[in-house]
Amino acid sequence: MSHFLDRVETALRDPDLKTALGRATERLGSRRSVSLDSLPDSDAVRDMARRAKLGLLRDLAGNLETFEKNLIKNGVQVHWAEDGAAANRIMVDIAKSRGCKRAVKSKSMATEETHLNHDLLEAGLEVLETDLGEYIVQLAETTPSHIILPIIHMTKESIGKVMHEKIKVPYTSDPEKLAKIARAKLREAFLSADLGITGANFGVVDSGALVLVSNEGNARLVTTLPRVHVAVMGIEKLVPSLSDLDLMIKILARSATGQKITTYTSLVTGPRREGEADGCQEMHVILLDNGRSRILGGPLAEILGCIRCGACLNACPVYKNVGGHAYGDTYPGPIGSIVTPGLRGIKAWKELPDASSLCGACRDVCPVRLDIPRMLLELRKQAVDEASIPWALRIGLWGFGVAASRPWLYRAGAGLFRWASGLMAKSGWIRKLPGLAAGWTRSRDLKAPAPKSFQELWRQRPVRPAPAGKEAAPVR
Amino acid sequence: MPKPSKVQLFHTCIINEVYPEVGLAVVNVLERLDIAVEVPLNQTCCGQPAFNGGFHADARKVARLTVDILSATKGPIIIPSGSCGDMLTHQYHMLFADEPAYLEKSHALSERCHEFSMFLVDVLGIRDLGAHLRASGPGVAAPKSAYHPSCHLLRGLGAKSQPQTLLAQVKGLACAEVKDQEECCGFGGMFSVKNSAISGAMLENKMRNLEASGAETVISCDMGCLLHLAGGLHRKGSTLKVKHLAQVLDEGMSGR
Amino acid sequence: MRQAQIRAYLPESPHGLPARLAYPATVPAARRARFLEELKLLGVEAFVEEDDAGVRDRVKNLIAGKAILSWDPDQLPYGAGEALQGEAVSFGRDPREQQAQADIGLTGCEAALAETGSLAMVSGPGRPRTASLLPLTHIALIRQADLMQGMGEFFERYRQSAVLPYLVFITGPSRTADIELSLTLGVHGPGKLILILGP
Repeated sequence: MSHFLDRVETALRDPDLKTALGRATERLGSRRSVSLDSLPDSDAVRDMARRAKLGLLRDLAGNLETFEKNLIKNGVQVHWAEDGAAANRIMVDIAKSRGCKRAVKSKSMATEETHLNHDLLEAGLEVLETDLGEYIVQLAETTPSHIILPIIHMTKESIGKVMHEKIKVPYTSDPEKLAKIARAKLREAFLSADLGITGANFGVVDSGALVLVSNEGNARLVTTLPRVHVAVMGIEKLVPSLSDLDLMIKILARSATGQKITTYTSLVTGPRREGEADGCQEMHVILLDNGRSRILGGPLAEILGCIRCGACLNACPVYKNVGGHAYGDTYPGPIGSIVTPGLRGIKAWKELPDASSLCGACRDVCPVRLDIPRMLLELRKQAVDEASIPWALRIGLWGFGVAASRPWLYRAGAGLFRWASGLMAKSGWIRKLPGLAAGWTRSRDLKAPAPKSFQELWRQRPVRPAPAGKEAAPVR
Repeated sequence: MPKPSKVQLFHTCIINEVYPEVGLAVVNVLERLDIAVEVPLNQTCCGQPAFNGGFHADARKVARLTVDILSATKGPIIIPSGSCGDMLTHQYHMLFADEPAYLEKSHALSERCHEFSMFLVDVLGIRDLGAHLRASGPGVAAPKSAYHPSCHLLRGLGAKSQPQTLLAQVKGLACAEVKDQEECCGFGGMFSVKNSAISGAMLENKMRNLEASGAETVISCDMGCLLHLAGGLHRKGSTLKVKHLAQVLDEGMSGR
Repeated sequence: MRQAQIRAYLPESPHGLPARLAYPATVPAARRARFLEELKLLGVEAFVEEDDAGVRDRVKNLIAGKAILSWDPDQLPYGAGEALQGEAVSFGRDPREQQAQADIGLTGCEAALAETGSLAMVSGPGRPRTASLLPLTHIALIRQADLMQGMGEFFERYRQSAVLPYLVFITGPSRTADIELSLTLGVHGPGKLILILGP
């Protein structure tokens, strides 16, 4: 999106956003480090989890087939969707052919990605988000700004106002009261819904299980009460076996919220079995590609190992300043800066990989050790190779390349810069730079070059006597 | 590694053009340790600006020159900058993926590259350089200094403690505690120009935390971060000064 | 060709990693101590009872006069079904609206996990999922012998089985921190979890 910088300016001007984000990410960050470190052998667990995810991706096609076979064995109907539109079409078809009228959803980034709610409403279905944060997002008619904390950008006052306006309850900003109101409203919906929609945190290949984690319990309600359950799952969400799932569970909540484990970890293995009093009667899984298989054969393949914990968002100084909406698509933060151009192409999203100082905090906290900075650099290269880049920048860096690879030209260029900045500088500082460089002087001055370069000073330096017993120094 | 009698200095472009005194301080510290310093002629820049911008072809030209110049020398290469050090040790392989000859040379080179503080602590095994900063007057408490860990030194090269180890032994220097010390200052090379609004917001946070620490000086091992911080502090009219670690050690060792 | 391309971009992990996590054997007393410690951190109320009668009395005490949604009596350990006599009880087969009116859910569990303070609940006939989900309070009975170290050990049990049952690990009361990260209990599931650890 070409409006990235505009969204950034808007975000930076929003004092509420800064307060809300600052408080939240600080608390999350400190809790997370306590908890991941508290894991015995955390380094080995992270390495093993990485191995499990990347190893699986190396034969993703084969693993998907095995997973499908095991799902079918468990009585699950499997659908393949090449893109978001196909996934939504399949969902609408299932709903209509089964006579479903009212859908309850538990939080799913995959369906955010496909804009499923829009298509369901269009098809005449009622859809209700049931994760507290997503419910408020839906009421406020906005989008989540964080992978695991959808309304991290909102203050409790603004949440209270939304609930007051949209569902006509008395205004309150007490989080506990707000949650109670939501519980009562959503409980009614759960009891009358006939379609339950979820995403999946993991799919376990060898047992055909879908894994859903939640703290609120809404994912359990969604998979227990309605008669039809449909899960939309990105094709990269597989783990080979239950022992690998154990690794993922060990790192997921620790990285996400600083808990050892989320309150509810469900392994959904098909519709209710004979003699059971509850559970859905019919279960479907929609396997969503939507650009993932294109990523697989390229230098961003590693990103498919992401387990969506959100730790990189909480650690990222850029995210902490601008929040999730500035990133312009489903996945914000460092991970979004890779996933979005990866899934949707670099041309329309070339600003995202630039939105990083490459400080590496994301790589440090990533529980599966994804080298996010490397992938950002890769995308910047793709942007230069494939997308339109301001000509001045292109020429500027071409000039840098030409000069810096020819020492005499480089010295001449530096001399020229020294002369020019002498004209611009006042008592050694430049307060305003022209053209592309103006960004620098927007919030800082630039120290002018020294009258003589280090190399000049070095050449003028008197030759010192060699240290005792050593050969002569310094040598030029 | 036995203590080398001679090292090569890759002085980096920022030090060469803007902060030559830092280069001299590095030389002074090494020479006081009886290590001769050579400065390979014709070195320019590691190529990072173009590389980080995604202009690999342009960066490669610069990197080839750097590889050629440095490969023609012998002995450890000292780099008084975390980010240039990280570029030379960890990033050149990405540039030379399709150039086996340069890939091999750059691998050999990365073995010889040492960031300044890591060279002192990890290679030479030094903790205490006997540096002593004089008080500005009798009975005056030592002024506080804040250490800023540059991201590429901390996370790229993994130097979690080396600079602080050296600073802790400097007499007459008090270390200030800085909130969110390990957070980026917002420099990031081209990032500070292309995304100047975000970079500026990060710089604001960093300066606020540094000023709140009560420090009079910010010490770092990377003139990139310090150029950035100095620019922000100057714009703000702050009295906080910036210094490279080598300058502090040099001053302390000279007994000035 | 494509497979080779895919593999080229997915680096192999360093060698020397164990094939799977080791699950060191622990003694029951240590497991129990760890379990109770985790429960405390989670804000779970826990009772330790010496014998079957103690469990039954405890249940009776906790549910007296309340509307209960229970597992079938024959599915509850310690003959705790006895405690249901004379109380207003519904079961999984009753209309859902009626189940939703219950104050307390009463269940057993398949296993409990010491290192996280979790309950492992396996679905099956006479063991409705709603009992641990709809009421605001959930009381679960745990047999000493079912206390395991962690999830990995629990999964070992199902490694060779043809079909994995629907199962859920419950760790503490339902919670949310979506609003300014302030912790609120009982947003969808039970806001109160009471565990009775029997012999």
